[in-house]
Amino acid sequence: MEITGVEIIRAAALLGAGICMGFGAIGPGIGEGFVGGKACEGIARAPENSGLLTRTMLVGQAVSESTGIYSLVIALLLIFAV
Amino acid sequence: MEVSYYQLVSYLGAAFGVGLASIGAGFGEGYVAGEACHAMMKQPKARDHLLRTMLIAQALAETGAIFALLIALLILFGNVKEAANNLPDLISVFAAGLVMGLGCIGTGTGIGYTGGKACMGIGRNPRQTNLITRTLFVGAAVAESTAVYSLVIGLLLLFVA
Repeated sequence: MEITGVEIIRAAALLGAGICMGFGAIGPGIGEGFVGGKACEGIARAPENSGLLTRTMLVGQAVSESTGIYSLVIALLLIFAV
Repeated sequence: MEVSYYQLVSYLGAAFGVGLASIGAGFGEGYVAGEACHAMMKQPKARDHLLRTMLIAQALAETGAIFALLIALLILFGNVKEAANNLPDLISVFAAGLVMGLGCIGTGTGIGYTGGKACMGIGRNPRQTNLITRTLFVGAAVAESTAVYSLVIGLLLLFVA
């Protein structure tokens, strides 16, 4: 198997896409799960505030999601643009 | 002897994928079961609700690992890029396994935490089971999204790149 320099660069970009999305998914997954867990706990304690808690949970999870989306964008760029 | 480099990358990719994904799923499901046991100790009358919620939450935490298993089986037996003999195609097979494995560590742990706290909440306040289960579903669905992104990237690496 002949390996050229261009192929090494392309291979590095593809491996980089996998590593980027993989590591980028660890943080948001844990963080969003933590938010959801605390919202469940809060609703059990104060069910009358469930609407407020659900709304806050979704806003917090959306912010926490942003780094996951950055990883997705970079991974797609590495696959298709590099 | 003709060496098949595809075997090298596919074995490594499948191993990393399922191995890393199992970390998150195992930890998360164990946490759910632990909190469910704790809640049953406090509130034995709610045991049916607790058992049901525990199983639902564990199934949700498991989905990422099932995605990883799917990708690993595709890599091993799916005849994807089997004739590949250039470096980018070979690396993309390994990267597909790696992305799915790493991507599921966080979602498994996170959904497990949500499920555990839902069990804890049902143990504390069994009358609000429906409300808590709904919040569990919404929270888990959002936390699942990064596993879906990883699955998309993994499939792109296998079939498009």
